Amino acid sequence: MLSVVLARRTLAARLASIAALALAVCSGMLSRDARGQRSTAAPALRPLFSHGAHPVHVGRPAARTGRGTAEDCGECHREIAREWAGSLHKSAWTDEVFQAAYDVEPMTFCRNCHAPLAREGTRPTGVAARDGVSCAVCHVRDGHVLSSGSGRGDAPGTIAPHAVRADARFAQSEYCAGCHQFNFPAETTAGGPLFDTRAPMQDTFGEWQRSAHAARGTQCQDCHMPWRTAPDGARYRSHDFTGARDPSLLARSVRIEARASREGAALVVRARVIPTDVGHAFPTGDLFRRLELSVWIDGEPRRAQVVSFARSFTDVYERTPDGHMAFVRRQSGDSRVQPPGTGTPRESELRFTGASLANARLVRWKLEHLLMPSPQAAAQGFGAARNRATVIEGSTSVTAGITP
Amino acid sequence: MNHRSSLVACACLAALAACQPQSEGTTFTQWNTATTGAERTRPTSAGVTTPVTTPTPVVTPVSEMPTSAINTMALMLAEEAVAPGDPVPQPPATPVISPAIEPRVRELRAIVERTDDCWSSAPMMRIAHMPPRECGQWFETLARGGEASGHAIGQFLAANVRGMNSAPSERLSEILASTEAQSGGAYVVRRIHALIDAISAEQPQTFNGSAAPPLALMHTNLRVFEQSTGFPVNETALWNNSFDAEGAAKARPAAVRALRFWSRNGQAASSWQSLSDQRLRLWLSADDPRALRASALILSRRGSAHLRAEAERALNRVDTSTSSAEARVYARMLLRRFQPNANEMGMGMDALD
Repeated sequence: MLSVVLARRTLAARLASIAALALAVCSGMLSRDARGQRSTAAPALRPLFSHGAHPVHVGRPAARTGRGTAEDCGECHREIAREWAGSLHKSAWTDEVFQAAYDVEPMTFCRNCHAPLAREGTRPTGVAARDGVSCAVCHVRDGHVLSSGSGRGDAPGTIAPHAVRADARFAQSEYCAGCHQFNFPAETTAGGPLFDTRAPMQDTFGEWQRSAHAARGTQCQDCHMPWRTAPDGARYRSHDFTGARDPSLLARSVRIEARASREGAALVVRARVIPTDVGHAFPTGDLFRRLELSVWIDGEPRRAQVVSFARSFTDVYERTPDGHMAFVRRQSGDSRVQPPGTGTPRESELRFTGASLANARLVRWKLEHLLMPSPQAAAQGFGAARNRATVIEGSTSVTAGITP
Repeated sequence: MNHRSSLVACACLAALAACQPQSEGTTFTQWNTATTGAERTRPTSAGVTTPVTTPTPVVTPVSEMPTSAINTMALMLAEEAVAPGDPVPQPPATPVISPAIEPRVRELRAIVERTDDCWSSAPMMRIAHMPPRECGQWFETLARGGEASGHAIGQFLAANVRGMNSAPSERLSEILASTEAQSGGAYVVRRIHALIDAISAEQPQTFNGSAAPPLALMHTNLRVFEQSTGFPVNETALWNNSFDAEGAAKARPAAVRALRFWSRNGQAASSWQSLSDQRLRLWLSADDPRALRASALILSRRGSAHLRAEAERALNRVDTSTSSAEARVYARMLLRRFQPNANEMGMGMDALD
């Protein structure tokens, strides 16, 4: 196993070669969406993120913001700092699940988003490692503090100790795509340079673009950075970046319609997983995320039948842009729940047989969100408590149905 | 694929039931019952799950019976049943490495570790990796390594009972068997022992919805054990499609049966190959169709040629003298196995899979 890790470490250097491709893609995306700035004269802001192609260069700290660390920002922005401190942005680098994956594939493009303030080509240490995606990563560029322009710092009568440069991109989904949308890289030859496969490894932004949420203008920030009110009455965007770790957000994403009936000697359960308030595929993000729907007859959980909803991939041996033959990972299936406006609800039919069915009156079901397949989690040392989160659970009575 | 196998297994059961003497009917009734319960479902790419209906029993002609059916026949020759809660026999001691080959074992062990990179699709990784060009050379070196390879591969297999991908351990297990190293059997048995622990430690739910590494690895190892010792333990149709609590419950008795067999016979035999030879000779000496089927299974999967003359003599005897038409069919099938280019002509046992 150690040899695997060592061999993969060399990938870090190789993956840097994908930078140019990714940068070209992302720079176009972000610059196209730059809109009016309200405060000082509008400069030509560089693209803020590179889809992992490069670390983030924030430049010098803004005036009167100390060193520009999260600790400094928290001196004034207490609520926001407290929320961020409990978020996955703060632990983007230190998170144990990420670290386990990085041990196997220590790639540059992972590091550039998970510890974006680390120096290029180095393993993150200190504040860059500890604070992950910190305040400056999003809000500081070249001595300026950036914001959407609609927060408290711009409220009439507020005297901020630093200037704020408004950038409408902060309130747009495209802003999140800078890190949450990127393609699979692939090796041209064993150990050779990498190229962009143009196949999304994470397609959250693309999923949103195809959703009903996008059609009606609901942005990522509307769900994941909802408006809150501070103790002093000021409104601000939440910075806990709530996601799959938030039970309430999970629960509102889907609902389940289940019917259980007797059909001859069998008990048949038909379950539909219907998307409700979700603006991307569910689950989204990392390629290993999945849902598992477990259905069992009341009192017999060990006989649960399980249906998975996940993406599947295959490695295709194909010609690379430079003429080599190489394995390229391509998506071969996607049974995840698609957001409203795309696809149809997932339907499952589960059939139970056996002598114990005679007295069955109730069927129970549970939908869980998994960070990765259970065997993979077990192999990396993560138990069910870390890997699984309940989305929704319930039960349904058994109806008479069809008798022979 | 799995469900196709299930259907084949069901068809085989029907065929087996049709061709068994009445006195063995009880065995098949029990076996069949054990495979029912919650029926399998078949998820489609759209996430829709449809039930796999129980097929109408079909009587398959013996000549068209797949090897899995023969495997089931071989299972019947197992000396004793093992209950799910039966204790696990103690594993054999770790084989001792002679000082003379110790340096070579270390070298080969390093090669074994490197072969982990020889799989283009590692499920825990996020991008596709090209296998190193040296992979073929590494596997050849290991196959030629004799006793030292046995230790190098055996140590690795016995120590690594987790991981997502069963393909590397499958390849290494096959190479280990091909080395005919005396220590090989003990290492494989120790690995089976460790896998029982791993399966027992897993919560049943953690298997659901995805392939379970310990079960997949156990399947591979029991198959290697079976091919190498001749002991028919790997009742594939019983559990290899069930990577869940049900599969775990059925894998354990199969593994315990293998361990018991090894406890009784393994230490006394000079190697696991000699154990296999003894068993084949025993079966080939019988007119019992079941024994011949078991021999067919072993010989069809094992490339050893040194029993060929012996097998041919025995099979010719069966073909000309036995009163059992069924035994003659299997004897002829086995004889065809020994014909030149049997596989290329589609006449070998492999063609029946």
